[in-house]
Amino acid sequence: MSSDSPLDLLKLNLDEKVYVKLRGARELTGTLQAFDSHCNIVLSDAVETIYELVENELKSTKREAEMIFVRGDTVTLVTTPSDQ
Amino acid sequence: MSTGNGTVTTASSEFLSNIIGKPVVVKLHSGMLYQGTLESIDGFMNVALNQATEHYESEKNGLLYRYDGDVFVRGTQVLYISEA
Amino acid sequence: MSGVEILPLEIIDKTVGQPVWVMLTSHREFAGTLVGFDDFVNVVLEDVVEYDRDSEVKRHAGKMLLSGNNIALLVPGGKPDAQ
Repeated sequence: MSSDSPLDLLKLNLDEKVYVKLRGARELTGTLQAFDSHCNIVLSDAVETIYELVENELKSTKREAEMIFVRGDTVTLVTTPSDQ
Repeated sequence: MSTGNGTVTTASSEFLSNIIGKPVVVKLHSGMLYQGTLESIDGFMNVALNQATEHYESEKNGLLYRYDGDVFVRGTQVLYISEA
Repeated sequence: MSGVEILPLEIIDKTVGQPVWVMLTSHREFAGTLVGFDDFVNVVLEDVVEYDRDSEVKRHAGKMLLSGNNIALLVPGGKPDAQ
């Protein structure tokens, strides 16, 4: 058995910029303030990007929030953002 | 195999402890496929991958994204974990 | 209670080491050799062919842990005309 669990890896990202992939072609970047074992997440200075197909063209919409709570069941993936 | 009493190693836990540090593919219910090195895994199938690449359904369908940092994948979304 | 009752999981236990066909609640199927399973019916398979709506999506040479969460059916003997 490995000593550290995947959730411990998230702990290393506290207070750091993270990229969160959500269900339904949505993603978030922001500073990781808190999370729990359900993957409920609190981000500060968050930017949400929503992708949708409009007349067969990929369209993305962005919106910002100072502080956001994300319910864990929509979360699919968490990592560090590469660029932007 | 059947009477789980703490010390019994099930086929699933044996598999998981054998593949840590090895290249794996993880598929989500959405069909997204992640290939990378398995950093860690827990009993909820939460997964931490290193050097992950993102594909849809199969690597044959091309590369969607390459993650440089560690990637956390939420266990509830995981369909399977397979030796790469 | 009769003494000859067979538990469902006893049937699965007997197919360990043999071909099995796993059907999920979606249109996805897996055909491979059953290595083992746990109390949640998470399943470990080997040499797996993965299907979606009966067309092959991917082959897996090694072992695979398939989440029991969406398993609908386990068919001992494997998928007809598979591999």
